[in-house]
Amino acid sequence: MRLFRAVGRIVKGTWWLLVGIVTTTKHLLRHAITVQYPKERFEQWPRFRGRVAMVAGDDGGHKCVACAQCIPVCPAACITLERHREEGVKGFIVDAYVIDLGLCIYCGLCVEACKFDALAMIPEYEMSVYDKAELVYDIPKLLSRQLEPEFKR
Amino acid sequence: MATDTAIRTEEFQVNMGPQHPSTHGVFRMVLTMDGERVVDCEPHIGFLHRSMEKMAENRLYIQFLPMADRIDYLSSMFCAVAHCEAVEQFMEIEVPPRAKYLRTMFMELNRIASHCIFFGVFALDLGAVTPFLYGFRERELTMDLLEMTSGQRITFNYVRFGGVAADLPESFFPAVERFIKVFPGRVTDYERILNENEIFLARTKGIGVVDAARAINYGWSGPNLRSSGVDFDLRQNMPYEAYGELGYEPVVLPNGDCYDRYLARILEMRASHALIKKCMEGLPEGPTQKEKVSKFPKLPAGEVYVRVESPRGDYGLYLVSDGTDKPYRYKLRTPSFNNLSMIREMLRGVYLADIVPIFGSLDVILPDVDR
Repeated sequence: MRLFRAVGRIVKGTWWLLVGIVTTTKHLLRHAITVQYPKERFEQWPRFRGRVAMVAGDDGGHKCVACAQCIPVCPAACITLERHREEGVKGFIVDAYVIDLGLCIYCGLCVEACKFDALAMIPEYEMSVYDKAELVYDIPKLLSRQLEPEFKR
Repeated sequence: MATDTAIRTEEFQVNMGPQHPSTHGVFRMVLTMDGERVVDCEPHIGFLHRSMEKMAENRLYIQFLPMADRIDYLSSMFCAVAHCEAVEQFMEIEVPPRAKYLRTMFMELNRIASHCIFFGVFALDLGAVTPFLYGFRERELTMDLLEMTSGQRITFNYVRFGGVAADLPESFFPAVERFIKVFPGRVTDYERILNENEIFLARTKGIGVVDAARAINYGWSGPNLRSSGVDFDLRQNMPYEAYGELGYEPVVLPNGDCYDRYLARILEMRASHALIKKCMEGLPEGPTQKEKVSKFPKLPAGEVYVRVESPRGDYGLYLVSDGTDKPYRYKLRTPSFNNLSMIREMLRGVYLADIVPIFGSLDVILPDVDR
């Protein structure tokens, strides 16, 4: 009786061992889910919200008209806008438009609020820098990288 | 036997946390031990307090919308839906049916993502590494679906007052079809790897038993409550969004031990999968956003209480408005806090090794406790 039980246990143990090996082998033959990050990258979805950027107009400059619609929606209050009026010119003139990406929470509400398509979220996500001051983006920096056509909303 | 020769034991104190890996965040327990037995446990919370309620009171309703995602970051869709529903009830607007279905579907996807984490992390706490990888593999599927629609993986910022931010993209339909096809098999994998595992059973069956009366008295909700044999699910009892039309049969289990709390979540994954399937089949056409909804609403004075069934339980939001564009009071009733409240009573008398399965099976998330 004891012998039978011992043999049974050995058979059962071997069987489950085999099941384990089969599972492992199956996974060996499948393609890898992981990506070797710095060498390969995941492709981003067209709606991916990376950092905020300014959209360049036809003349290469920004499209901002200083309407300040993006400022009240920003939860982190990271947008600074300086503007003034000039005689004979309709609307405002933008003196400075600064986004502190160290404060930004990448929610995309400013892009939605912008009625002039001056802002966009571009799929840039490697934002680490050595100095926090580098994360303060002014107009030339915000214009430096443009949205690829497939990422147009 | 004379008393002076008996082995005398002395109580001593052990500090568990706040940086303990199985406290899922920063939670500290000061344990008074008698040998291997826990005599008393003094829980300390508040290490992750970010004063979310006060932040809401200092911001416009639209400004707090992306921040609501961060109250409970594993189930952010639920917090955002609760916020939007509260504002919508004040504004007395009806959400278009398609938006309702989309919200419901993404809530269920988010629930699956959250339960996948629970499955992986609970098993990891008990020493099994494979389920952790399995859980995160399936979570990736749901995360992909959420990301391609909302734009981000965890803090979606997808819900808006009177609808949702965007309609489904083209790439969503094949992906969700694949997900619907693949997912039940993966849950079967989960069940096969843990449900009858000797070690897993020994460590969870009959551990941390909570009966229905005690669970109700402590204000438990969600899968924890239902695994104690109480048939209460907001999706069935107080339907919101599209749950009323879809219909939902809650998962109720009788025993109330760690194993049932685990099993309830596994079965809920299947139930959520069925709901997503129903949502995709019955997805109505039409707009996803109600027109002419103010971005900066000035809500009339009054109060409203919104309840949402989050993966952790009954997520409540009590919103008082004094007629301005900011909330007067933004009180959150987060399920994790109430679920955690019993920890002291549950841990009295158990072995040191049982603390981890008991705490893990509650599936609390510390930002949700402290908020």
